Amino acid sequence: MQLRHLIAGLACASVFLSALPSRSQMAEVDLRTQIFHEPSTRSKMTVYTPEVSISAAPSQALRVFASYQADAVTGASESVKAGPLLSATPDIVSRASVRDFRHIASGGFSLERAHTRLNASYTHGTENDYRSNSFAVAAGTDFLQRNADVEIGYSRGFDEVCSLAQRTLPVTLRQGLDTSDGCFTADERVEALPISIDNFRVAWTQTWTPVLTTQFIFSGGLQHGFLGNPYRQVVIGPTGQAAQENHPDDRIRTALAFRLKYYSRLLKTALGMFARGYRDSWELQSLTYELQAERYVQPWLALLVHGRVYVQSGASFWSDDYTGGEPSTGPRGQFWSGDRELSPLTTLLGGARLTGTWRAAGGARWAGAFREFSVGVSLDLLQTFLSDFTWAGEKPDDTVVMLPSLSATGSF
Amino acid sequence: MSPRCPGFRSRKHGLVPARSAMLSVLCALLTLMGCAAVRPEQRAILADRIMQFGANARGQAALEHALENREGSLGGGSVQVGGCGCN
Repeated sequence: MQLRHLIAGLACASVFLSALPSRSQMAEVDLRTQIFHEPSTRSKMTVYTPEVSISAAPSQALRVFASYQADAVTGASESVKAGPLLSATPDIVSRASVRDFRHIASGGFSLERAHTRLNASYTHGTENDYRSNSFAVAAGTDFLQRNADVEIGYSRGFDEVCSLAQRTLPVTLRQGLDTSDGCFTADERVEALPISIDNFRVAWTQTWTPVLTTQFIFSGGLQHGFLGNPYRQVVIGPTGQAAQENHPDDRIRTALAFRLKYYSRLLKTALGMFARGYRDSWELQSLTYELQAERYVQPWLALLVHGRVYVQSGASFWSDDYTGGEPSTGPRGQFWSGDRELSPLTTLLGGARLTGTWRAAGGARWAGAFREFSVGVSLDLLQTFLSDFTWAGEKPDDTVVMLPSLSATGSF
Repeated sequence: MSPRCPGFRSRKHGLVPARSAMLSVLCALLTLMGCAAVRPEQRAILADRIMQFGANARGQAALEHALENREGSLGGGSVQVGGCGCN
């Protein structure tokens, strides 16, 4: 019901904002969708993510915005994680179909004066087994003749995840959730576990020459609460005893990133670079490198190509097999995980995007309505190389992801 | 006007080499920031969409959301908000 009210509110805001352009500086509508598809014979995980965003500037200093995004998930996922020692046990790794729908609605405003700006937004997300409420604020200022810009941001999330009501049981006896039926109702079989999420960010953007600009970003986060997957079970005993995934309740995450953009007049191309180092309190470390190039192949059409390499170590408590009698006081004895994202891995990403933009000259309107209209189409391919993750000794085949997307943006 | 660097104290006053190296880098960056003076009329290329870091912010956020479901790291982009979606 709460979500219906929110969507109704967004619809009303859309109508209101679309009526504003005659009095306002500009209004913008953005429609986009992304598809996440794993062409694996086993999982066939597919996520459709349509999104609509609208914004308008009732005055020169104020901009208000609202958006709605959905995730429609279909496919299958393994609900019990086992290591290679149980490869001979039939059906030790079971697969369950996944069908879920996530809604995210967001709204906020930004205030801008000569050299300073302030943004604030609120986001509500809901799915069958997860709910989130979060707010974010950011403030920025530019100086040194607009050649330097500093922005700080903070967000706080108040989330809840559904799990079986079994907090009084020892962690080795807790079982995974089998269905989301009854979640966030009075059903005593399940309970909502709180998760708090704090994130902050400091960004410094610097223009060095008429063709060179850089950005440093330091970001951090603190997550507290149930941080595992409530459905997933991990085999922790040599006879096949499985228990619900058990992660530490706190995770502190930090990242330092550097971006660069340089325009080569010789190549008539904007060259970009991104590098990031990441470390968290679960002792997971990673490095990310990305290169990109974008140029106009026609005055109205820009082509971007990019490639990205990501390498991470495993979390301190990661193991592909928890049946080996680890000391109960050690990280692998206290915690267990079936999450491949916590295992050592490498990913490669490559993709391209075409963006066509049409602008009306002077006070004219393109196609009778738009001051500016742009369409974007992109395709990215992601390949994951898992160093130490198996389903009972078998390498997963769902390691390729296709990410096509389509977007259209109109300014009135 | 370029910012002026503070004077360095010697090691016997407790300034460790790593900290003094960081201060040196910071001073160098502040000095360079002051030197970088791109005038408004020189900003034609910088103002172009293909030279903006946030030109495709919504598309980049969607891509980062997908990557976060296949990698264990996050950060270095926008402040994260908005639910799990972690299937």
